[in-house]
Amino acid sequence: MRNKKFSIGIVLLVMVSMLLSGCFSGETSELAGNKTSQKSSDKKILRVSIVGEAEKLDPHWSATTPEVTVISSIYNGLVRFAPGTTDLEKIEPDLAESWDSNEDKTVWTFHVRKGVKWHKGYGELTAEDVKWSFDRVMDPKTGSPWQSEYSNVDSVKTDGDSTVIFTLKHPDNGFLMKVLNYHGGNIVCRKAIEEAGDDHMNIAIGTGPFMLKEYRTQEKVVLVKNPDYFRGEPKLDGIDYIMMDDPTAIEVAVENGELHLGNGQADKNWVEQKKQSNNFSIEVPKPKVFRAIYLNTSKKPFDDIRVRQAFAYALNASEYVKGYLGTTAASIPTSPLPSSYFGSTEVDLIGNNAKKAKKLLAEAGYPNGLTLPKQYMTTDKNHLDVAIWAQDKLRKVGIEMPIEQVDHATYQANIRKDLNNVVIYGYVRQPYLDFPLSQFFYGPATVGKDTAVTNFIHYDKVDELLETVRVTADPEQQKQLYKQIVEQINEDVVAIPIAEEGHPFMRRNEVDLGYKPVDGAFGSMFDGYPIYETTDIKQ
Amino acid sequence: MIEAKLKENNEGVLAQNNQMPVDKKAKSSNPSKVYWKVFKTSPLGISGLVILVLIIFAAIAAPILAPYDPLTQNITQRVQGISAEHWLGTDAYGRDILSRIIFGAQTSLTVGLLSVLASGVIGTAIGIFAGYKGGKFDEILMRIIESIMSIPMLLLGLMLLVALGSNMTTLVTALSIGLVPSCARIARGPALEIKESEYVKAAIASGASSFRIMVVHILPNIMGSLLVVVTLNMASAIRIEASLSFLGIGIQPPTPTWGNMIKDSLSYLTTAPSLAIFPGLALMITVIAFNLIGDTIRDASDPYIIRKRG
Repeated sequence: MRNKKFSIGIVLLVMVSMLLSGCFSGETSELAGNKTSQKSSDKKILRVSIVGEAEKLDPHWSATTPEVTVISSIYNGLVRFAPGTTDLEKIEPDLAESWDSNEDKTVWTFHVRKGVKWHKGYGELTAEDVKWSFDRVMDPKTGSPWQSEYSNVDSVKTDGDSTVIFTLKHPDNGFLMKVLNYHGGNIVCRKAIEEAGDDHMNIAIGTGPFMLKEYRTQEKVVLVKNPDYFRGEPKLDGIDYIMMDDPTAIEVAVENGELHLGNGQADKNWVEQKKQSNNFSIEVPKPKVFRAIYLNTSKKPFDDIRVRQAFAYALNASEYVKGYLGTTAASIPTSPLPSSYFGSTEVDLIGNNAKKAKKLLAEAGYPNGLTLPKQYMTTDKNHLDVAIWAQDKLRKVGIEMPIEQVDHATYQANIRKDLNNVVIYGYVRQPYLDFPLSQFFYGPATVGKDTAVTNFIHYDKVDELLETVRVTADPEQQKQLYKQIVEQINEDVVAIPIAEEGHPFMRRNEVDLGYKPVDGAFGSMFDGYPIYETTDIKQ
Repeated sequence: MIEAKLKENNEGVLAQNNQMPVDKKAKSSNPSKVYWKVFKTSPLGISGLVILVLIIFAAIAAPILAPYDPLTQNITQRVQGISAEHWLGTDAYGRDILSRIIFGAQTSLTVGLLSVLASGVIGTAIGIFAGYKGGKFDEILMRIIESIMSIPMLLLGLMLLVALGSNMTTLVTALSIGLVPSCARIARGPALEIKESEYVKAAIASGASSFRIMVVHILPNIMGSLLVVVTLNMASAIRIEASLSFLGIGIQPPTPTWGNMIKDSLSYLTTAPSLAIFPGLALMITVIAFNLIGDTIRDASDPYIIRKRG
């Protein structure tokens, strides 16, 4: 008997000590962290967290945040945003030294920089490489998800070794957006890709400041500097993109110096508390991630607009933004599309009216409410939080939305297989409304089709308008048309905007990005810090 | 017969030690009194029992006891500490943690109870049958049981939930399958032994059917050890359920379970550790309570310990 008391006592003691050690682990590992950062101080390796695998390192396929993050320092486009901005006015030369277009914006000529070397001895970049790269994206046989972005391009021709001429079917004021170092605009190396064959996703031969050295599944992606980079040798020796998905682990790692840049949490309380840190600053990328709930109009019950309206009335985006994300980092959406893109417009959103929601449900034939089939939902916090918040709001008007959690990759695959009625999705795109519209609201982009992108809702009502606006030359007229499109989408209640989220990132004080965040925000086309040859770790 | 003798013996010892008048007839007709006596003298057993009664009461009376609806969010009062309004604070969605823990007890106990009952009935039946029949039956059944045992229960649950989808039925099925071996093995041993005893032979000679022998003669003899196993199984069922919910594949949100509460709290570990601590404590206390009770029942069915006590 005494023995047992003793052993229970020990068990309790161990449990309590485990609890305590959990609470204080931050402090103990800080010591360990300092040691490791001292050890690696002879080489300047920037350690950055990525949430998930970055499997597809061929930019014509790279789509997830980790993938786009990793390739951003490997490849170049013809043009780029000035470091630290995503300002349409501040587009600057990248691989093209200069460019011009004819009066009606149908012929665009780019003069390719000379002496740019491909990574790992693949020779010099030529105009022919650029042409091949764009032809590759545009070829339906390639199967790139960005193919449709170039449907307006009639031909790509070279004139000599350093001139590339794009002839468009219709005028396009925003054509520079399509040759940006983003998605299909990244220039890939013909020789390397043809050599690699089926292995093209893994070779990652570009012209950027960093080169792929090693990919360790579930561990990290190792990049080393490209000493021959055309803008000069990078200050960093390399970048380790470390795969971590536990937010607490990332936070502790940044706190103790095991990571230099890390993902923070889109949570008001978290931001407020972590702003006080002496070791790192909190900054958010611009444009913000636009998050919305998409309702599949091809399936019951959302084929009925009244049910979609009821769904929208049940929710209240401003409550979510204010209460959950906080207005420091996030803002309340003003339209079913992002608010800061070319063509953005404000519309009257519906929401926050439970009575109306119930009435509409009753009219639609669900006086006692309805239960949706089980919806797949990712365990990714940014999505899951919206889902759980919405569940409660919907329950109050009589809509039950059971969910089944799956890992993020499975979720991404399942929503593209048309398995959900309700899709929660967040994105950043080139700040030109044509991009999100063509991907989320354009008939041919419907999931399940050969040309599928991310039209989860089977929406095709603005196809004609969208095709018209693409061939419209006058920017003012374009804006008018975009307004019409956005209003139509809003009227059809197919996308319920939830938030424009600024995802907070932690940057340790010793990291000099090479550009200065303004008011705690930095320009980035993906959810993370862009890293340039000028990025440095101060000793 | 042996059992009866044993009991008489135990009671004799107990009675002597406690110097209480013994009404043998009444006592031997009610073996639960033996357990009660042992419990009474074991502070740990009593505390386990008290905790369990409280938890069961909380689970049953959850709708009355819980101060708030466990699902209602209040986004203006997120991640709050202990206060007069919210005794254990609020979670990431502004839901009352105390209410969620109370309702979480419902889930934990339901899952535990159902899987333990199912596995107890099936496992015992298999065990007695295998032990009594012996031979090929025994061989085959026991190899099957052993093969189930070789799969960790958490893994078994994971596989079934992923394959069949996350819901209560699958969860209970998975846990039941995982718990069957322990009951089967406990039942088989005594069955092997008892079938050789004089009184079973006598029963066979007087024409009793196999079924009658298994139910009337063997089953009562293994009740004591079975009760111990079942109680301990309850603890592991609750633990595994929490682990699966923690992994996100058990009971799905918004239904509160201690496991998914701990999971939700993970990203707040540094900012608001109480989100994880309270459901963790609830889980720990419940599992300990079942273990304490299990231990005490074991003591009660062990004549050696009873004799030593006092």
